[in-house]
Parts: sequence; C-alpha cells; structure tokens
Amino acid sequence: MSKIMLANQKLGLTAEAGLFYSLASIAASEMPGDQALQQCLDIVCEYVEWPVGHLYVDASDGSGELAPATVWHLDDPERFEAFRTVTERTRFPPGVGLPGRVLQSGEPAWIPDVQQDENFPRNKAAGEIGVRGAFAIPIKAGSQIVAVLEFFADRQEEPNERVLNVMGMVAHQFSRILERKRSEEALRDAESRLRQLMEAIPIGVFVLDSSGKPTYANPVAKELLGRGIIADTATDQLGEVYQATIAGTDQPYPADRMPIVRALAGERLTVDDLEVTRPGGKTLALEVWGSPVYDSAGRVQYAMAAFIDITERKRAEDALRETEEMYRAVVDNANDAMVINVGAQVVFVNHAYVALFGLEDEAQAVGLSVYQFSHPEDYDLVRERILARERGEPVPSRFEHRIIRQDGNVRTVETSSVSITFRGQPAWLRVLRDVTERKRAEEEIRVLNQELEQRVIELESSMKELDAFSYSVSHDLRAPLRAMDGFSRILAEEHAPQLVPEAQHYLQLVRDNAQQMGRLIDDLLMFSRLGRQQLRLQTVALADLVKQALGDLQSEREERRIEISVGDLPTCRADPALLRQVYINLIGNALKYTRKNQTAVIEVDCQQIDGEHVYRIKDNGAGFDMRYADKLFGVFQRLHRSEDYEGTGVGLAIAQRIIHRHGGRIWAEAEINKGATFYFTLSGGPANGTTR
Amino acid sequence: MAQLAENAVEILLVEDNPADVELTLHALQRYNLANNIHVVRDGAEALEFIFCTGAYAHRTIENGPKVILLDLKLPLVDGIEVLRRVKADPRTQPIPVVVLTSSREERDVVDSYKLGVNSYIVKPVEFDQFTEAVRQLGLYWVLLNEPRTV
Repeated sequence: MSKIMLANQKLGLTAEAGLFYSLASIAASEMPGDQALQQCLDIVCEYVEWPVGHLYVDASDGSGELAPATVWHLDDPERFEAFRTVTERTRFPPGVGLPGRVLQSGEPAWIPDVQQDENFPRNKAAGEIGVRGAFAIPIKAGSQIVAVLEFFADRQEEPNERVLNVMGMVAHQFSRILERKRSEEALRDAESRLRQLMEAIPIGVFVLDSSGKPTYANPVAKELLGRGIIADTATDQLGEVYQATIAGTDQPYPADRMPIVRALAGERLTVDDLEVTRPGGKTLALEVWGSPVYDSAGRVQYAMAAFIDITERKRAEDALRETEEMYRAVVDNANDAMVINVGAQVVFVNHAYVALFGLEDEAQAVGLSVYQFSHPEDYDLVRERILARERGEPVPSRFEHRIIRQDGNVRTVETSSVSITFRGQPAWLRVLRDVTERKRAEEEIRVLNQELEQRVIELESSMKELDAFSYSVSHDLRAPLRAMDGFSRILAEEHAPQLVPEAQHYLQLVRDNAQQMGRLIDDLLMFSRLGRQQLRLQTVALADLVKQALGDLQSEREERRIEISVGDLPTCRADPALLRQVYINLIGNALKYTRKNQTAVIEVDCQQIDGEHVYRIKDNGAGFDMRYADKLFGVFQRLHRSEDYEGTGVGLAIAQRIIHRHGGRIWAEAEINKGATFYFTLSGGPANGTTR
Repeated sequence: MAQLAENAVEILLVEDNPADVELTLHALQRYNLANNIHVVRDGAEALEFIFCTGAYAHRTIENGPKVILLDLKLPLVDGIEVLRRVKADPRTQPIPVVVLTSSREERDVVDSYKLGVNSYIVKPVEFDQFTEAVRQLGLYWVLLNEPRTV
C-alpha cells in the first residue's frame, strides 16, 4: 500500500473516500501538471489493483487522433516493456483500438480479454506482453474528449462495479489536471512568444519586477549596456551599476529621474539625456521610454524600459548645429549685404544689409518689397532683370544699379543673385556690394588717364620740337666754328713765313678755342639728347663693351706705357651704346689723367658688394681733392686746370646721366697724385646679371 | 676764283655758307680743280643747273656736271630734295653725288632716306678726305692737273 493510502487509512477514510480525497487535493494543488498526472495515475492503479495504467491525449494537430502520452503506471516495467514500446508508437483514430472506440463513443469501454478482441491492434504485442483485461475511460473538457485513460490487467477481467463506480470521479479529476496543464502550456507558449519578440526587436528592453529588482534584459539591452542583469540590484543602485550619467556631464543620473524607476510608480516617461558607459569605456547616448505593466488587478506588475542608441543621431545633430552656427556667423559677419526674397518680398537680411540701407535692425527689412529702396531711374532695369531671371533667361551674373538708403543717400551697388530654396519655397539669394566708392575712383582714374594721355601727346610733340631745335642749333653753331678753324689753319699753314711767332701763336689759340667750342657743342648736344632718349635695354656682355671702348680710345693709347687689366665682367641689362659711352668717358679720363705717369695702370672690373654688382675703373693718375668730390659730376665743372688737362667738363655729367637713366648710382674716391677710382651700379638692387 | 665757261663744268658745288664755299675751294685748289667747279648757293638754282631750266636753260643735260658736291641745309630747296630729284630722273641718276655733312648724326639721317648717296665728306672739307672720296668714286680724272678746255 502506498504512503498516501496508508495516510488515508489513518485518517479513517474509506478506500474510496481516500481515493477521492487524494485525487482532488492533487488536482487542486499547484503541482506541475505532468507530475500531478503521474501521481494520480499511480493512485488510481493502486486502488483498482491493475498493473498497467496509461494516458492517451488528443494529438492536437487537427488529425482528431489520439497520441500516446508518456504518462505510465507500470507495476513491473520490465515485464511490460514491449507493450510500452508498441503503445508509444501507436496512434489511434476514432473507432480504432481501445482508445479509439472510447473516443468515438464518448463512453468507457471494457475489454475482458484483449487477445480475444477484434479491435485491438496492439494484440500481437499483447500476447507477448501478457496483457489480457483492459478498460478505458474518456477524459472530457466540456463536451470534448481531450484524453483517454486506459488500464490493463495481466488476466482476464470481467467488468467490475467497484472500478466502474469511481471512474466518473477519476475522469473529472484528470480533466481538471489536464485543463490546468493546458493553461500552463498556453501560458508557457505566450511567454515564449513574448520572449522571442523581446529578443527579435532592435530595441533594448529592460524589465524590473514590482519590487524593483531587474528580472529581464533582452540581448540588445545587454549589448547596449555592456552588461546583463545583476539580480538584486536596488533601484538606487541602477545608475551606478550601469554607469548612467547625465549627457554631456560626469554627473550620475538620478534614480528618481530614470523612466524605469518612475514606471514602477505607474508613470510613463521619455528622456533623451541619459548616457551609459560600457565596461571598456565606450559611452553611448540613449533615448529611454519607461512604462508600467499592469496585472489583471491593475497593480504595477513590472516596470519596463525600452531604449535605443542615439549617439550617432546626437552627433549628427551637433554637427548640423555647428554647421548652421558657422554659416550664420559667416553670413552675419560678411562685409557684403545679403538678402533672401521669396517672390518680391524680403524674408531674410544680414547685418551688412541693415548697415548698407541705413536701417535700424533686420526686422525693419523683412517683409518689405525688393523694390523698396530702388532708385527710381534704375527701377525698370532692376525689374526687368528680376523678371528675366524668373523666366529662366540667362542674365549676366553681376549687375550694377543705384539704391536710395533710408536716409536718402544714393549708393551704387553691385548685385549677384542665385536661386535657392528657402524653407521649402523657391527663393533668390542676392549679395549686394557697395561699389559707390569704387565707381568714384574708377571715374577719377578715367579722367586722370585722359588728362595723362593728353599730356603725353603734348610732351611727345614738345620733345620732337626740342630735338629738331637742338639739332638745328648745334648744326648752325658749328658753321662759324668751321670758318674760324679753317681759315686760321690756312693762315698758319700757307702764310707762315709772313707771320711772326707771336702771330702764329695767336692763330693757334684761335684754332684751339674753335675746336674746343666744337667739342663743347658735341658734348652739350649729347648731354641734352641723353635726357630725352629712350633707353634700349638689352642683355649686354660688358666685356665686349669695354673692348669696344678701348678700341675707340686707341689714339689715346698710342706711344704710351699703359697696363690695362680687365677683370671678369658679368652680363647685364643695359643700353649698349650708352653704356659704351660711359666706359669711353671713364676710361678716357683714366687715360687722360695718367698721361704724366711713367706707366699708367688702369683696372676695369666688377665686384659684388652687399648683393649688388659694383663696376670699377681705377687709375694711378693725378686723382683729385676729395673735398670737392660733390662737384665732380656737375656740368662744366672741372677740378683741374685746363692747361694741365683739357676737357669740356661735360664728360662725367654725361656718364652720370646715363647711369641714372639706368637706375644706378655713380661715385668716386681719389687721392691727389695717387689716382682715382670710379664706381657705378646699374638699376640699383641685387645683382642683375651672372658673371661670365 | 675764276669760273670756267659754264659748258666745261666738271664739279657742281651746292653750298650756301660763304665760309664753307671758300674753305672747300681752297682745299681743292691744290689740283687746280677750282677751274672746273661751278658753285650754286641754293637748291633751286642747283636743280635749274642740273636740269637745264630757268637761268640755265641754255645748257644741256648731257653736258652736266661729272660729280655733285651737295650740302644739305640749303635755302629754297634743301639738299635732300635735290638728291631725290637727281636720283629719280634716269638722265641724271648716274651722276655721283657726294654729300657734305657736318656730323655723324647728319650722315645717319641722310642714310635713312635711302636715296642712294654715293659718298660722304665731313665738313670742313679736308684735302685727304676729298681724295679718298674721289678714289672711291673712281673719278681719278678729276685729279688731273691740267685744266680742261672746251
């Protein structure tokens, strides 16, 4: 006898009452369904004293067949093993086999000896398994048969009153248990479906139970938080556990602001300023919705939080805001006025616009017509251009017209416009630049240029006149000189015998002076021309120039002891004819003033001083007194007596003028009787050539 | 200076400045060429003489001068114009023209006209220069000592 039976006996219950009592208490208990079925089956089999009990249940696949459950009572599992094996592979449609006829009839069925029964498909096995007597009862839920209980004995059994009497009650209790089992399964199904949903949605879900303890976090939540549930976390510890902070700060997120905590109190709340830091250091920004889940009695059963990662969204928002701020700064600080108009109405202006039109603030401009400040004379022009643009015709991108400011001042502006979209509407962005000053300057320049051209024409013509004048003057001045020189010569040569030495001497003086005058005229003419002549700049090899100059001075060099050394001379940009004249003058001077030397030593070279080429002509001749150096280059200025050294006093002035025309400088150093050194540069500044 | 009968003129001197005339004739006197020289004092008279018009209508071109010494600054018609006319007419074009210049610049200017000057002499006319010009022109006969007679 089982423990239960014994206990029931002790209670003074009859076997039957005890059976009822046990089954009922099991059915009413919270024991899991499968366990309850098993226990009840054991109790029933013990009561009816049959060795085998088994449960068939509705296949629940729409076939209407019964499928074997794995709930067995077997007194001797080994003995009935084969039967069990067969049974567990056998399904019964209505009417077939023992379970099938019960299913069909809805009434219990008794088979005294299954081996003699035609409708017992398990017969073959039955013989071997030694099952003889059998009966089965239907288990109903409402009017539907949901299961069939079957019992088997190992000997023939005739229908037994005692057994049949209790079967109704047994069926009822089993029905209760099965129903409970079905509810359990439905609940489990529902829970499973919910769980799958939670795990599939791309939103983090975190659930607290009614006492505030974390009970569930879906995979997305675990990934976002970087942590799973730590059970028994108190609500005020949530922030610390999950490293929740207020966005943009290090401050911990207060528990009483968390949506999930507030959901416990029955509130629905959304926040987007919560950040969590995952283990590993990465911080995410979250948007969190909190919502309570109520039970059937209306009490908060769970607090649920759903959240998503908005880090990227925030980054994009920040970037956008920065860009907008930047553009706004650009527009506001632009020097040029900017205005946006939709149709003919102004919708936006920047600071520069306000300043340009002499308004007080932007608000004054918005809403005005674009023609508001147009100069009446330019109104048609402006209008035509706007219309042309709207028609889509090509117009020049820049356009000048006049405006009248608020204070009545007229300004000229240069506009360029481009079509844009402003708050969804087609609009025009125009940039206006105040060009009033520029136009004024342009006009002045134009007038000045005209005057300048006029002056240039006048200058050119007076230069031409001067040229003609000085040419003809010098020509006419030469004629009497020719006569003076010529006849003096004839006198001296052909009438010498008649002339006393004194007379001859005077004649010679007349000749000398006439010739001197001729040279003066030549030099003055050249000097004058140099001031007006255009420089013909070329790349010049100075070494060649010096050679030519020395050639021209050949007559001065004959029958003298002269040592001329010419150093490395670079190429440079100069007027070759004029620069040659400079060398002729300077080297000529060197030759002249060394005439009294035994040996004249003349050096011609070029040095680099402070990055410039400095050209040098040095002699060891008479030199001059440095105290009067400033007179060296004056016209007709001489530092020596003409009887000692002849000259017109124009040679150096000519050289200086040429050098100055080239933009260079010329100067000299000397010591009386020790010699003189003349230096010059061309177009002052860093070396203008390369040394050859 | 005695001037040869006009028919036998060898050299035409076109020069307006009296001092220059005298100096030139003096220089050429060494070869007694003065006898063969006819002097005209302006460009107009020069053209009349060369082309045998006006006061010289009785002359013939074939009997014209064998060389012209031409100054440039002349009254009435200037030297360049005389030169142009002489070189433009086939009858007179072969006559050698020696231009008397007073400076290098003057020579450059005349060259620029590209009228075909045969030779240049710088004033005052020096004897050596003159013989060089004559040599260049191949007018050696001009240097003969004997006066030519008609």
